Amino acid sequence: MKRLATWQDKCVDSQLLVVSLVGLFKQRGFDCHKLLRGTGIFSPDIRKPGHFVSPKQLLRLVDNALSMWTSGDLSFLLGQMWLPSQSGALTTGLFYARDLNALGLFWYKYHWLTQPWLQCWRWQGDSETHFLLSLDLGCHQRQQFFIELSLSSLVASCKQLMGQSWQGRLSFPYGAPANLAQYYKYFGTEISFDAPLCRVSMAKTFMQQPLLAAFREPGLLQSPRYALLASDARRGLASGIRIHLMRDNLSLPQMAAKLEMSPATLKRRLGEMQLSFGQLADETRLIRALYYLATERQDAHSIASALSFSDASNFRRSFKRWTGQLPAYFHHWLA
Amino acid sequence: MTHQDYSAKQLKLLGVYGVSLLIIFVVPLLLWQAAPTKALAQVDWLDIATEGALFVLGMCWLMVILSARPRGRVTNLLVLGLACYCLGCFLDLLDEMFVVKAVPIYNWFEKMPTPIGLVILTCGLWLWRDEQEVVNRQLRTREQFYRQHHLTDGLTLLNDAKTFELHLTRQLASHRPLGLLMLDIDHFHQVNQRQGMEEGDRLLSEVAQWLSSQLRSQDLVCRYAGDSFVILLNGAIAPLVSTMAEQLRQGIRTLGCHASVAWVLPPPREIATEYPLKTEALGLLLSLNEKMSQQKTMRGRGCLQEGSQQERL
Repeated sequence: MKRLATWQDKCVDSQLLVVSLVGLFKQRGFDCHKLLRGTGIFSPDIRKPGHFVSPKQLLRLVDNALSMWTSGDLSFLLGQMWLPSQSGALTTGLFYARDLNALGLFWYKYHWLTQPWLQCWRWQGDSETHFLLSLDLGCHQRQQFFIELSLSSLVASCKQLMGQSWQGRLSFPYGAPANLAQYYKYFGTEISFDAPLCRVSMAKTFMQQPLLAAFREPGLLQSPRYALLASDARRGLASGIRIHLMRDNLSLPQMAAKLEMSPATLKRRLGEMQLSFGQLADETRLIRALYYLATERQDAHSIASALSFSDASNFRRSFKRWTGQLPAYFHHWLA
Repeated sequence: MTHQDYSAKQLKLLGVYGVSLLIIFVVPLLLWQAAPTKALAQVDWLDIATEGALFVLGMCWLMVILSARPRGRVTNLLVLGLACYCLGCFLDLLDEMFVVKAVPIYNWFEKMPTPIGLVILTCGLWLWRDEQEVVNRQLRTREQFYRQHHLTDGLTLLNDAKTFELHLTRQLASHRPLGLLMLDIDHFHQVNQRQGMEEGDRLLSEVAQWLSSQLRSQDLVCRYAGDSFVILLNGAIAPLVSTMAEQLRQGIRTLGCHASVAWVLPPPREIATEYPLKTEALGLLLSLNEKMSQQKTMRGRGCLQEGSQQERL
């Protein structure tokens, strides 16, 4: 298994998001020195092939950008530039995908190359496919920005590849934001806020519609495969831990042993990204609980024991703490 | 600007600098020769500090006026008044250092600039008020009685979605009839992609300008998000709103683009009174957005067919 990327690892290709961001600021006449101040990124470097920045630098850049750009549409503008200028090695494969299902699988395999801050879980409902998005590499510190960025790139790409507007439902893990107008404009009106997790739901029939340029299987394209083979890491620390935790309930020392580091180091590495092991454990247990709730014939007792809670009422209490609602409320959330 | 204008402006500037240098340096020199200086013990340092501060502040105001105001009669009056006031302050400052009672003309000369300056300044301010009324009338479609420069969208210079919400709530509270229009440029992302962001930005500000010129003075247009604009039609009934929508849809073709237009009217009062106004405003905006996305999907399908027909031809 490859190494897991941490806070200071240079793992974000600067030719994609960083170049787009700096270009946009230049075009609108902002001071680029102010934008790059304190990030340790130098503007001559960012266009060089093979130049990478660390999550720490990226987050600092986003902080600077958001303090300068006050109109609340930065993430949406950048998201729309994703397919033409930020999808890197994936562009060809995305254009040749048969339908959204194939495109999703292809993206899932290689998204580390363009959007390393995302982790995606898929769940097949009755008539809809649901995707749960978690953030990696400490990007949850700017949760709203990165979620807006990722989802607006999804919506804009679909529009371009299908020749029609995107259809689906979105839930956001925060309250109605100040820039609600942008949400209506770009995501449509089927959106809800204050959800336990970020959820994207699309009808299965919608995902099977052929794309405009559908040509051949993206699996045949070699360039993203080589790019992924060449990269040092293939996922971030938080994402790697979540995957382990989805399989079984490990404690912090067990997890540290599995990742071949001391518990203190693991704690420190997470602390750099403003994360704690408990947070990640709670999050994965919530995802699993939601899965169990969506499956038939699972009662609170069996879910509680699967998630290694001592009893059902303990589980209910924790669930209420995570979401503010009782488990029964979410029976149909992933239906 | 022509070359002559340019040199005339330079000459004027030179004149202004010359006069101010003369006053600042020559008057003290003359005083130095004509009047005895005060002994250090006699000098009231507190007076010097306060009068000096008045002088410095006056100069600051002068600079603000010069940098912020467009040229014209009002600006000239304001500048002249402030300059006189500053001169008065400066002369006041000097008499703290010299015994000026000894120079008879100077005594008279020192008293005059401050009152004259303040009178001119007052005239200038009064004219500014008249001017602002005219400007307000011009701006009314854009910002409607409510000016907060931080709520303005930097690109199109229209107000943003938050301000629109505020106006809508206020308008609902006043119980006057109103209509809401939303205008969304078709295929705007293609403009951005094919012709670059500069071209897209230019189109947006053109549309913004055009919209504010099309509306009546009691209406309000704001930039909602991206390429969609919202318009509040005051005192409007259904026929007017739908005509307006059709007019805008047709008219925007002169700018070389197409647009979708959706409109809603608020529900009758009896139903609506149960909710707080803010919720009602948000609900109206939501239904406006829903209508717009319906139209977009319908038109999107239509366009797709058109496009494929063209390809076949």
